[in-house]
Amino acid sequence: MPQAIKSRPRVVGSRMVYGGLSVWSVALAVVFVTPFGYLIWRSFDLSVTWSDNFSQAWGPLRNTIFLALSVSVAAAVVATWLAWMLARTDLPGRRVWSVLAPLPLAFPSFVGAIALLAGFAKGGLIEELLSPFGIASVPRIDGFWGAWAVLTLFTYPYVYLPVRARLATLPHSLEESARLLGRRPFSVFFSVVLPQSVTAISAGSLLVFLYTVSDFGAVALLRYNTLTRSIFSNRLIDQATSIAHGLLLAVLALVVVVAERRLSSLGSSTAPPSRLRPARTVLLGRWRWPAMAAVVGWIGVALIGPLAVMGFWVVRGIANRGRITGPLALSFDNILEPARNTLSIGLITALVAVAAMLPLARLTARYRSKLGAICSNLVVTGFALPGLVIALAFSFWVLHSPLVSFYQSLPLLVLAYSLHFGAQAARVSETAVETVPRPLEEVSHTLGAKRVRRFFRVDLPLMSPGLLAGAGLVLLSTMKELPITLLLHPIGFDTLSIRIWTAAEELAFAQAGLESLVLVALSAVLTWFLLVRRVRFWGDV
Amino acid sequence: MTSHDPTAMTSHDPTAMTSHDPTVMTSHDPMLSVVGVSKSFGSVPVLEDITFSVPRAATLVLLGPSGCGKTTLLRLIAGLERPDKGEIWRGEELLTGGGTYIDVRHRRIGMVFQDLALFPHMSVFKNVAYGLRPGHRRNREIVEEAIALVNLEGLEHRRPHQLSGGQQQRVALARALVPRPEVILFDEPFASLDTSLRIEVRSEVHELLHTLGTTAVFVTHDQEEAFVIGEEVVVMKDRQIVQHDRPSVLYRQPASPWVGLFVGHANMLPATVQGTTASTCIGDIELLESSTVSTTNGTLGNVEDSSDSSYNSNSSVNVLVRPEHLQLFDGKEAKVELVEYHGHDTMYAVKLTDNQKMLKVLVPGSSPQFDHGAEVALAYVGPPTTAFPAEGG
Repeated sequence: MPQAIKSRPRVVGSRMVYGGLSVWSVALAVVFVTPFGYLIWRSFDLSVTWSDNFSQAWGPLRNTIFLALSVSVAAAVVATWLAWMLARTDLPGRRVWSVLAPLPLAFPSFVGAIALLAGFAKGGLIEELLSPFGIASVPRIDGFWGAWAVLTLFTYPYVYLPVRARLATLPHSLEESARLLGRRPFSVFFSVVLPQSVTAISAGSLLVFLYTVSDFGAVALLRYNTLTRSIFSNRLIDQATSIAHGLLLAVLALVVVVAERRLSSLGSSTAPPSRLRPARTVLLGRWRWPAMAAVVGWIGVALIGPLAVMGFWVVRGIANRGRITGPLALSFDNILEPARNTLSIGLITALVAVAAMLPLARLTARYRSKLGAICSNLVVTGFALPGLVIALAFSFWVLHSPLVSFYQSLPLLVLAYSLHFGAQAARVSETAVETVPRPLEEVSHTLGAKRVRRFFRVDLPLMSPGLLAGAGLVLLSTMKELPITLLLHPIGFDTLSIRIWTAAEELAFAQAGLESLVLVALSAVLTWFLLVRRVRFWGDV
Repeated sequence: MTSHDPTAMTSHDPTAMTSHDPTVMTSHDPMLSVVGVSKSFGSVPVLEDITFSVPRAATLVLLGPSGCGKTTLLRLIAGLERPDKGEIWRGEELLTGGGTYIDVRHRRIGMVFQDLALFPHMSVFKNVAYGLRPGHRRNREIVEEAIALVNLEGLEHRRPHQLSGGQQQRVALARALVPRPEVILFDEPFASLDTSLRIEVRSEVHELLHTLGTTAVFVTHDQEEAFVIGEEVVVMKDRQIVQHDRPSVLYRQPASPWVGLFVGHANMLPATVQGTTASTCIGDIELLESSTVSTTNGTLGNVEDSSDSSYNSNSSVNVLVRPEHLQLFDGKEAKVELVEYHGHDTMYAVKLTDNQKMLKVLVPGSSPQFDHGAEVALAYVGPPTTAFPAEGG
């Protein structure tokens, strides 16, 4: 039997599976590359030229980069400060603030923008609160500052969560050594904690940057002219400009992703995570109450503020029932259907995305296949591509192909969503596959279990927590999504985000507020289960 | 287990007296004193009424099984935790107690952590320089001196992860020494090294501390390490100090059977006492006249209580017999059950024919003299030893 011993065990009997996984993965990668490829091809087809189309892009491009940088820096600073305060100091009530701090993630940016507009609008909460002080009119906050504020307020949890997780696993002896060597808490923070959290901060800031460059709802509502806004407004009247700007946006996103990966691979000198207890509390002393005021103020503005503004409009709307139009127009009749649509399309997308990613995850994590790694990287770039670019590519492609009947159909919508959010499922699925110990698989193999039976009885139960988490992330993202939904949703199939968008465009603040509260409530529950509870496992919340 | 225990044995043993030598006595010029310290985490007590002191320029080892509270004690001294009760002094300065709490950074106490806690993002040079106030002109010189002291010249620009375990150890030591602390604490610093390297690094650290005359407190659960490094050893068990002595005293005159077994291999032979002689099944064994038990009073070799000078006649005791103090001959008293050959010596387990009791015997020499199953006789060849009152006796 020497030949049998020589042959590698993983190949025995699993060639078919390996082949199948490979074919699926390559097909998946092709689908993921399609939108970008299509845009490039289309740009040649429409003979997009530098002078005509790219030159007009300078303004929007500059605005996009400027906004994304400002938001990333602000979010990174606030989130790191907040994470440190809540993880390391004796701030009063830090358990409560720790639970609330990540929750602004439940607000889609366009809902945040509506809250800002509605809050400062005539008859809004701000005016109401200020009128006793004799201030009759409040300025309208929009443009750069509005977009900057809204995006910072609702994206900082992307940095807060990884930094908080990092602080929970940073070996306490590092900070204690620094203190024993004579340093004050702030010096310890800047010389030890910050350098050791840089990877987490930059990974989180990258997400904020990508979110900002691809954000469409907030900048459109607040009238700040970025690339996404010009792509959207030109898509019907000037396809060439729209495509040129879409390409530019895609390239920008990809360049930033690659740059961040390069940078973070350079700074590899970080302490490995430790499971020991975290460092002892820094005593704030006389800074206790000012610090708490700052934390409460921030969480108030990012979480309580928008809810209060929306709630205020809803209450006013209820008090003035019967109006057909205007800010106070309010109807409860059509709230259930879009909520159901939002949940069902989100669930379908989550299922499709996880099911599509699982074979690829198995290929990369179990078989350590090179082909799998390449496909996996291509899939992850899908996440970097802004949703609007994906939507644009799909709509142009379908409209110019024999598949025109699929335009604005549910399958196409799910496909576009999966493409955009599949990367989230891919990473989690890979981790899930790795949680199945190989010896266990071999044991069940030697016990004579058939492959299919083995998958359902051994692998799937072990992977299910990870897969559920991945599916949950996709569901959450899909529920909050706007540009793809706006461009590709079937006529008559309204989701909450479509309804909110329409109401906001009509300045029906009470209606937009009501629908926003429903959407935020749904996504807050998911955010809680998926993100906040996980961090609680990592550290002392 | 104090010397005031009526059943404990006290008297005027010469070895005990040497520990009264004023140069070794700790109470005259203690560099560090811990007085009546207790600590709980929530409702879980971790330290109860701990009192001891460390003489200037001495090395003291806190020895105990894991979970006995020794690391917490070290962290209390460093100021990383606050005691619930008691005081901690550095020389004449009160660090903790009675409402006083000197901040960690003002204590002039250095610490080497179990994981060494080198800053991964800094070079060796920057790690060592971390404890100095930035911007001083002599800083560079001081750091270079410290790096030379621990033989790390040429590695200044490496990052910690590019160093071997032993080199990392030396960086951690240099970093702790640079701010010139009055006391330096070590929390099982050699635990991560493999055996041969551990012994090598341990000797280096030992020698360096000796040369520099630094006062040091080590925490370890390894008896051998405690004996090698410690001029004084504090044995801890279940949140309390059970004995504080020099290693040689600890080994010969443990305060309890538990200590005796914790600090080395031991046989406990039942016997009856006549005067200072114990009759055991392998013959008579001379007993030490005193037990130099010092527990919680914080000084070495407390033998003040000398009135209770001998054992009650005919009382039942267990005699502590170290395996190396037994010899094997040809005979019919016992049978060899197990032979463990170590190279420099051989450990035998023999079973007495009379009462089926198993005894450990350590015989020096480069090859085993007896085989498994051989019939042997035993003799006690050691110095006077210690006995403990038998259970219920």
